[in-house]
Amino acid sequence: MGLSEDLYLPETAKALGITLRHLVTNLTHQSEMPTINYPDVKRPLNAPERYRGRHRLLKREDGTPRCVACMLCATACPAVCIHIEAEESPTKTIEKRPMKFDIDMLRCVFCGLCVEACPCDAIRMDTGKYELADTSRKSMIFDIDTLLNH
Amino acid sequence: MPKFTIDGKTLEVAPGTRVLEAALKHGIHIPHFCFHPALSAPANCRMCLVDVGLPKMKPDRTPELDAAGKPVIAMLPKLQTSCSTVVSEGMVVDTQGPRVKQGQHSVLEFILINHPLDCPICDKAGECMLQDNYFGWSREDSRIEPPDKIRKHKIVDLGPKIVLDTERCILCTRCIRFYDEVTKAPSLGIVNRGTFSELQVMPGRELNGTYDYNIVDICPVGALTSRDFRFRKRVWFLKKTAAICTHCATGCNMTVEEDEGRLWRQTPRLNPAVNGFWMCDAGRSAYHHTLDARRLTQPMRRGAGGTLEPASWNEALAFAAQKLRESGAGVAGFVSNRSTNEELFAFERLFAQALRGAPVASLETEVGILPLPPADGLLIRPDHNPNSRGVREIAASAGAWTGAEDLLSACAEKRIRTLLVMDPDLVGRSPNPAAAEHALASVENLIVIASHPSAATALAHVVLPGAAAQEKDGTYTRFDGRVQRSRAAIPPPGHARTELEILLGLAKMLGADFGWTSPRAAFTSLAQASKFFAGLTYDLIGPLGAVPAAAVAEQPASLV
Amino acid sequence: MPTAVASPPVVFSEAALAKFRVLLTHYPEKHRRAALIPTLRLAQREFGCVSNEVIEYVAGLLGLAPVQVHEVVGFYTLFHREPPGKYHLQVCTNVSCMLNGSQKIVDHVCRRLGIRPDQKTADGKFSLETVECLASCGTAPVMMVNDTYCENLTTDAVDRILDDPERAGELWIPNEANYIRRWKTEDTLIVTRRFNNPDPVSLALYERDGGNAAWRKVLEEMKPDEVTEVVKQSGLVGRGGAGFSAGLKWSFIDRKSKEPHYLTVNADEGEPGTFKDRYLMEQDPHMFLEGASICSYAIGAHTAYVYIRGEFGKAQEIVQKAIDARTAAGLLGKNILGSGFDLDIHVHTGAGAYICGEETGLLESLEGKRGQPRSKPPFPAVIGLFQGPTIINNVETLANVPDIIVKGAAWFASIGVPKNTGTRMLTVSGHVMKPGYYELPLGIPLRTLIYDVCGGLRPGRQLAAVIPGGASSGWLLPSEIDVPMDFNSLRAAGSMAGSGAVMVIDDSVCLLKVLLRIEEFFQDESCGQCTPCREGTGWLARVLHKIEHGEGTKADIDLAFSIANNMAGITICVLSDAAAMPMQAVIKKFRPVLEAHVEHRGCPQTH
Repeated sequence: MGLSEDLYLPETAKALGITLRHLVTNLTHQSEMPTINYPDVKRPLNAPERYRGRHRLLKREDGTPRCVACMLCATACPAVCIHIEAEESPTKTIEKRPMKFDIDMLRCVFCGLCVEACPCDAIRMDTGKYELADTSRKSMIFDIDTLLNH
Repeated sequence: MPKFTIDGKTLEVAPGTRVLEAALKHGIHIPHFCFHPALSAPANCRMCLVDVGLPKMKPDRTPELDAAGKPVIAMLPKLQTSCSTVVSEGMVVDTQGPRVKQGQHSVLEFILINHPLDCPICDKAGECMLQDNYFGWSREDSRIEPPDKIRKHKIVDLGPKIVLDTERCILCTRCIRFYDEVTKAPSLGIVNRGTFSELQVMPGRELNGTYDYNIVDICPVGALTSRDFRFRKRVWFLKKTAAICTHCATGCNMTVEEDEGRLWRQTPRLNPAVNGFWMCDAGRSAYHHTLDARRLTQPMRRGAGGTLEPASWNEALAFAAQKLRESGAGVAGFVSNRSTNEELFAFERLFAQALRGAPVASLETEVGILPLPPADGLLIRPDHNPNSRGVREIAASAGAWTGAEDLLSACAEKRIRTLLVMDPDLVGRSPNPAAAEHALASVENLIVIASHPSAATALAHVVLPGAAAQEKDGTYTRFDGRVQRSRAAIPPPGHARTELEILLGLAKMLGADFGWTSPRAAFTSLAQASKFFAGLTYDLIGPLGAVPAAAVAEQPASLV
Repeated sequence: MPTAVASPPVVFSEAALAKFRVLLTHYPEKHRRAALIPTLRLAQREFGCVSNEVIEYVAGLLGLAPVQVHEVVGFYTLFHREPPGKYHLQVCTNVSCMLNGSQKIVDHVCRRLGIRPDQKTADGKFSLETVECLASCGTAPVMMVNDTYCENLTTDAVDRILDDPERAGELWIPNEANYIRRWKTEDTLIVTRRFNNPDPVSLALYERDGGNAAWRKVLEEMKPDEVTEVVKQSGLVGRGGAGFSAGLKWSFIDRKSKEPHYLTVNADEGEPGTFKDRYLMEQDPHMFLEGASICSYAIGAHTAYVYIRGEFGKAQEIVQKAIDARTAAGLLGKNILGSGFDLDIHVHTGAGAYICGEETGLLESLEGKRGQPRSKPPFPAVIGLFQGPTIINNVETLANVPDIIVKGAAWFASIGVPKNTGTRMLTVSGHVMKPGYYELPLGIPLRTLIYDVCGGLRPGRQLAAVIPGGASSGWLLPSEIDVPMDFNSLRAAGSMAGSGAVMVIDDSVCLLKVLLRIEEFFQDESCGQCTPCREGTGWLARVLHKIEHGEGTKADIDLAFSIANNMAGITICVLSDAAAMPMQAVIKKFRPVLEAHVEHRGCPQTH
């Protein structure tokens, strides 16, 4: 090491100089800073088409769920996070529909196998939503109403 | 005994055997639908087609031989259904050739063209012969558009138990033949002709007999489904356990199916010597009794105020043991013909070893715990309990037990201070319920082991929650002496324990050690102590039960 | 048993009960189910229809479960679940009637009555149904008014009938096709020589002409095996369609069986284009009854049934009268003519199902069940009616037997061609000038038949196709009509002689429409038991319908061919093969017709 480095203080002054230079630059060129005030300011996701975000259950034209409670998604799910209970559909030509459809988002690994398994295109992960944090475990179990309507 | 060759393998079979039966028995799986080993073979589905060749015969009726000295085989010009072809000496069968494959593809295509795209909503998915045969022997794309398929009647209630979907029906007639040939009460038929054929009951009538759910089992597709099981569970989630039905002395072999610790359905398990392929509807539906929300799940002790209060196992067992010890000669016990052999044996050991041979009695009754249709010579027997024979044999090896009436009288006369009862409903099943209730009420310390509340548990000073039939491991001895093993499918609910565990816990409190703790070990010990059970082991009992030497002469004719 | 719902009781009148009791005596006690279909027809006449209440009642009479009766009622087309009109009109729309304008007749009836097929007029007087072949193709178009045949229909005749339906039988005009057409007067006639019979039931008339000599000879001089041998030597082959040696079939009867033997006469004549057995029964019942008696003797049967299709009300009546006459004369019954041989012959009615013409379908129907054919083996000669050894022969086959016995096997073998000896009744219909039934020696060339015997085509028309042996046979091109009309030659030409029903088609009609009608016929008549036929007949009809209506593609033509090929060879009976053959023949020989429909998006033919 050279004398300047041995003496410690000149290097410290140099380093502080770098920091001060950045501080001045940022103060005088604020519009070029990459940092944003999230969540007040949000960047658009620009996600690719296949981006797997939060799930949604799709509806038919008359507003009833497309899902027929075949349970293939629950079977395919590697995280065992989908629980479905079926019931009779009042529409006789459809016969079966979900009474309960819960996804435990805390267990979900966002693999998308449920979407691939569905024979009715009734579940998709195309909402682009990724902000799922909440304050209780219970609230992270999304029920059928949440998945259909929100 | 004719010998024939199938796919290069030579088999010898009993005269009159069909090719399909022989193949299935030897692990050669020829796809089929309408064939069922317990029913006649109408050969209408055409799925089991094979190529058959017969030895060419000379005019003197001896086989023509080729240059190598082997019989010349003349293949029949058309494919044959293996279910209707009787094996003959020298026959050659091919199940793999291109002509057979073409035939199989054609038949599957014809079945599927009008079959609705119902797999996602059909309960049969996962155990459907059409799915299995399609994936095993076709996998070809469909050549018909769904709107061109013929529409028929769906969600037809054939009665309170069975739902019919005539679009899914492949008209194999298994269900019709079941009623014609097994229950001998024709109930179903096919109306119309050709591609418009449909299964129907007689208008104005319905299916509401004793054995209706069996047609759901044998339907190869989802045309006949159970109302009870409808939409409840996908079958691939179900874990299966081999068990025995406990609602009459026939002891039908069954499979208990559970998921996530809850029972979803019970289906018959093949046992040619006991129930064949069938079960009665009442026995099969009895799992609802185990699901009863009023199950006892917590040990209880009657407190100073006179009400039953929750207690820990230690407290309850300790208290019970104390009272048993203190009561000297005023101790007695009741077992029931609904308990397993192991439970009966443990109870007997408890009383013999730890309670100085105090008296044990058992209600000799045919009353069970569920209403059943009358005995019909098919499967249902008059005795609605699974182990009356076991009680008799274990009582005999113990040197005979006391009569139930005598013991109840002794209770009424206050000669019994502490009574240990292991019976689901001693009062309700007694010939004189009022007397039984009075007798139990007269006992100073009534200790009851039970899975469901009853008049006895309402009177008890200690309630020890027990297990239902699907929650314990054990054996039952059916009416003809055959010993059959039932396994636990799910654990007892809440804090309930199996009866064997409870009795062992009491024994420990009383300072007794039988030298075993598992049901298997209990049975081994029983076989050593009893002349009747001598020589039997769990391994020998296996999945189909075993007949002790003493009972061989009583065996009824096989049902299959 | 499933629980019943209470319903108002329905009971036979004393007269009907008496008839029912007589019916029961026709069948063995432990097979009383065989009385089911005749009883249901009796019940329908008595109560107007076969409702659920009637089904419950009949089930009780015969000790059957109601669903067993319900499924039989649902199989046969002559049963009505609800009362039809007072006059139920059944208009045939099968091939020959279609070729001769049946659609015009249907349209006319619809216009006059203001209803569509399967409907009833508001006043309940008329109901209309389109049906399959009524075995009257030579006098097409044809309809039935209740049980009466009305033939040679024109719209005028239909008007007269609708104005006075009670006399329908008298209001249509017969022509030569209603009587035997002769080609050359010197032709040898065996089975039709007494036709235009002034009194078909009269034994005196029959015997004056040599009738019953064979029966007496057989009883007095011949052993059963000798009879079978003579018939074998004569070369007589079955006239019902299969063309199998009659004598050889008789020799297959299982003599070791402990069950009674039976003869059943197949008078279910349902093959479209065939109309010979009906006239044989109406014009000369004694001849085939004598033949049936001789056959029974040869095979050791003491009970014979004549299974007559339900539509043949007149034939059933005449045959029954002839049987009664023979019984009264001691030619049937116990110890016939002192020979020690007993024989009873009973008439058994069908109820409307083509498949009951298949021999094991017939047996099932006779036993009182749905007419679903049985798997063979075992063959009926070993296990047949009521589990006993049974021979089933066509009416015309048996009608040939008396002359063979009297005149000898060599005489019979000298007529016709080797291996296909004797004469046969050829029924010609469609677009010829002189349709009708002709008794001709086997082996006559088809060209001679069409142009010389039947007077050729209609003026200004060209030949388009010929169906030589009923709806199941493969079509022939105009270039192929030099083929001799015998079983072997037609088989070698890729078709079949079948029931002897020749349908001639000229260029005035769309061939695809004809093929579609045939495949719809098979869709209607498939019993539905086995998968390839049940689903294949329906699928084939739907694909052809698409092509015929201009919605088909080239791929659909290949699909239709593929379906037909897949249907053949893998079913319990050959109805599936029968449905496949015309499709296969049309693809091979008339493919341009199908392709034209695809290209023109509809029928390119102008009429």
